[in-house]
Amino acid sequence: MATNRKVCIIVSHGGLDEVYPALILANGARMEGIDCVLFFTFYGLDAITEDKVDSLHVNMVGNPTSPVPTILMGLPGMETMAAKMMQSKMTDLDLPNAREMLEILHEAGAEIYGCLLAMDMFGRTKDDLMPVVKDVITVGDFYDMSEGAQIIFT
Amino acid sequence: MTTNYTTDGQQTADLTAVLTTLTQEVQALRTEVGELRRAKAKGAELFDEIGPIGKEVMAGAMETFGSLEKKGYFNFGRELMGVLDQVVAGYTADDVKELGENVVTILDTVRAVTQPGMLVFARQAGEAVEAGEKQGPVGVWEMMKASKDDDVQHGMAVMLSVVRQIGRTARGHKPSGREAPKHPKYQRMAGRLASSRPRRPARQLPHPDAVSVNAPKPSAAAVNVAMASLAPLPAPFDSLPTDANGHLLVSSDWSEAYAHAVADQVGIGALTEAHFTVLKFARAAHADGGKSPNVRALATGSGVGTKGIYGLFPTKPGPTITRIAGIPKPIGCI
Repeated sequence: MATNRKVCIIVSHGGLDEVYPALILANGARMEGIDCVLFFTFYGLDAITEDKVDSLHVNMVGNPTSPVPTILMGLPGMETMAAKMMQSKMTDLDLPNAREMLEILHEAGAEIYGCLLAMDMFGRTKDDLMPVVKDVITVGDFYDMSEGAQIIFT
Repeated sequence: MTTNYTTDGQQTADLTAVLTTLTQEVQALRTEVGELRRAKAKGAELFDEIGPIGKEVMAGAMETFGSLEKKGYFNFGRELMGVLDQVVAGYTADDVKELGENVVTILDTVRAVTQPGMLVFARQAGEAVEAGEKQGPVGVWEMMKASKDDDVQHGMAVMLSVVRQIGRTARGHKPSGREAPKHPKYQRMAGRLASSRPRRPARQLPHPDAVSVNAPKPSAAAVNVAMASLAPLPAPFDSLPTDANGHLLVSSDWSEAYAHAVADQVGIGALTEAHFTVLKFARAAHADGGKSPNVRALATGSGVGTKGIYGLFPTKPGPTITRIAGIPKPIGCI
């Protein structure tokens, strides 16, 4: 019953609400026996950076579905509050936080990579990243490993 | 002889009568001829009288025509005929008929355009154009500033109304209901405008997704292709009632032997103690809450961890574990 299906998910944003869908997709792929590669680039890199993964925020400014007016969401501390609210909702649903999700994915066999260009841009090294990250690769490497796979950009 | 004589006498009498008559006729004729002569003489007199007048008239007419020619009336007429020729050549009879049908509209429009108000407006518009040319080009910012002016605001309202009307006409005139034309004259005009240029109906392309979205869902038997590719379970497990995905409908039908049979079927092989730890936890969780545990619950609850779960049941851990454990497939995203 082995399947050769494979998905490659590119995570380019670092908001809590932007990282989660990618992590859920990846986890779902593994649960369905689909090979999975996660490629974190630009602000998505925050999600696999050791000292940033636990403080991912939700961007509600300019978000038309925000329950609070945009002008208020720009006040200091509002992002943190929104992130806390979202995280508590997720915990209620027994959703693990981003760090746990990444660890689960790693244990489930998903491969997690960082983007070399983004690393250079933000001045980070492999040591700044979580241990679940397998490697830092270039876009060419990404295309090599995504041959025949479905690519999802988030 | 007597007879002859008699006859002769008779003939003479007849002849006399005829001659008498003839004489009378001739006299009458002479009278008439005399009349005619007199009349002719009178006619000649009349002609003599009329002649000079006629000449005068002719001379006058010629003079008039000459001056008309000089003034260019005949050239104008000739050109007009040329224009008429072109009109006749350029338009078919049908066009003219259509023109006749729309003549009321045209006249209405002409009348509306030539109202004093409109003519004043046209003159003022000309003046405004001159004034605008003197002022020079204007940017968006200037336009926004100008929009505060009362007159400009009124003008914009009029312009919007005109634009709306143009749009409505281009659309083939279907009033939006909000602003249906009230006056019957406008409705008549609109009807003519709509009928004179029939709109081509928009081509209905089937939406590419329409078929797949509306197609009937595949039957339960066709859902699980993976199940169909598996070898059937050995007796007596093959007769146990299951859902389309092969999960036991009655979890009390489960036995360790059944678990081994399913594990064999899906290619996991011999079940170890570690496998049974997970399976027993799954069965207990299902019996406890009535719901099948998801992969996360299995990993944390059974104590083997995510890595352990994927190590023991490499492909599709959720469905595989629950199927071997004889409970329904878990519902959830994690």
